[in-house]
Amino acid sequence: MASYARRQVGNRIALGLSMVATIVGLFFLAAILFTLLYKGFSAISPRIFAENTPPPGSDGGLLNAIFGSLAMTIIAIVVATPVGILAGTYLVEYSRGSRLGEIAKFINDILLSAPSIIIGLFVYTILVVPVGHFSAWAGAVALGLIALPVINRTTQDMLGLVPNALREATAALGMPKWKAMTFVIYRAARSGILTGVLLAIARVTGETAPLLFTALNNQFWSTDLGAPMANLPVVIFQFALSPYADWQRLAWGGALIITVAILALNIVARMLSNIGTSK
Amino acid sequence: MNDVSVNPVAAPAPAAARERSKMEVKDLRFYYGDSLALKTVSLKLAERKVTAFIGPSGCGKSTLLRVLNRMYDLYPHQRAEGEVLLDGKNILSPAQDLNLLRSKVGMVFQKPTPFPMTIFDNIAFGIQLFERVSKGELSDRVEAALTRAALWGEVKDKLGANGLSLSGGQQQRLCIARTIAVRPEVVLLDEPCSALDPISTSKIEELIDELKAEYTIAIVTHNMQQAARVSDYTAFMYLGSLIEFDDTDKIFTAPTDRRTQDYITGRFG
Repeated sequence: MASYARRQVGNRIALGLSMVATIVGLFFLAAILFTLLYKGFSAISPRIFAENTPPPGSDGGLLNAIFGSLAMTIIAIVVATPVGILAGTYLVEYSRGSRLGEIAKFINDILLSAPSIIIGLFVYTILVVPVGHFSAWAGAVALGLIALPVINRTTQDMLGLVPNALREATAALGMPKWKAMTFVIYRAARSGILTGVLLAIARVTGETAPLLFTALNNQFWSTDLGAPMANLPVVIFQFALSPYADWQRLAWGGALIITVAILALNIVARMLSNIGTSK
Repeated sequence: MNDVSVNPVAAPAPAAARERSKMEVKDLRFYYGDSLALKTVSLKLAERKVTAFIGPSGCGKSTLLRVLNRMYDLYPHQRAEGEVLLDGKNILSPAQDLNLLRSKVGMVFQKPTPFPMTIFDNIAFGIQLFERVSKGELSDRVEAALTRAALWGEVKDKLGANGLSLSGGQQQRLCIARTIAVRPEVVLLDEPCSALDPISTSKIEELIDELKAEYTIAIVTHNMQQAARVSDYTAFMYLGSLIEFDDTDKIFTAPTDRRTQDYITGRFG
């Protein structure tokens, strides 16, 4: 009986500690979101989507920054998605057991956890220094390099979840491997791979460090990919650190926009993966 | 012409030896990496007959089946030595086109594996791999395959539904329909009923009985009653060797080998 009582006490202590940890974690999360909503909401108005970033002391919006973030993210994802999916496919379906495959997998995992500032610095040295000025192209490349290992890794994981029996079934019909991949295996892993792409977008839209080295910022409307381009993270960084109250307000607005966008992407990703598993 | 070598009069051979053999396994040895899984197995699959493989788990039944369509080729460390003849041609030769071989030697697996597409496409996809057929003919072929697999009545109103939405027994019959739709010559069944309830099982057994009019069938099963019910010939395997191979009636009533007798009477395995 004594051991039973002791176990119960132990159970209560462990449960209590987990609850405290949960509450602490949730408290800070809620505090951050609340502050963001409170400060950001007052900054959200139609003009934030209609006007460009203002000089200090005058009114304006974040149009050029939103456009820049969208443009660079889209370019990054459009390039990183096919490369990441094809690389993941090779690593799971074709390189099985080969040394090259194992090394590539390992390096991809390192790249996945590499600090984004190092990626920014790398792109700075190869695309900014030789050209002599910052550019949106360099920003897009940096974001693409961050998205690539995420997409590659999720593709590997999702293809790994496709049962081998399905691959054998395609082979048993005499189906060529490329047809099996495109019509059966990808289809079985589709929602998972799509989720990976969405999560990569979410990851990339919040990145600041690599853009500081590459796209930098632009006070004005610009669609020139060869020139510096405004983007939400760097604008938030500069405006939040500035002494001007209206700039700080815009920074909060921008932060709220990014957060809501990332939240929406995560919700869609979760819905997609639910569809995938409930089949 | 004087023939010096005259065939000696052999002991009465099993009926399998008297029939035309569709596939012939000669001195087959099979390795998983360094471990020997099949120790010099030789046997024949009689044309348009059902041959059952029985034996305790790990005795090499499924391994043998997976050599017959070279399924093991998907895995780098598995290899086979010896000969396997399909209509007299060695399919183990490196020159053998694997997709062509598998279009002739179809396979149904233990667990149902419908493709993530509609019921119609599950069948039509395989047909279109090797043949160019008109739309009308394609639907006829799909209907014929589903009818043969005793599934048409249950799915004819929902051919556009996902194959994964069917029950386990229906999925397995869909897989059988998919296999016979490409008109193979040999059908390999690897424990096709082990994941199914008794009603689905009896449907599939009836199906096997009908299919042997056209196809040469090899079935691996853990269920000895099933082997006795559906097969013409039975091979008993143990520890990677073929112990006894004979008419099913003989194996189950008067086996020659002690181990066969022990196994079918449930003394081990």
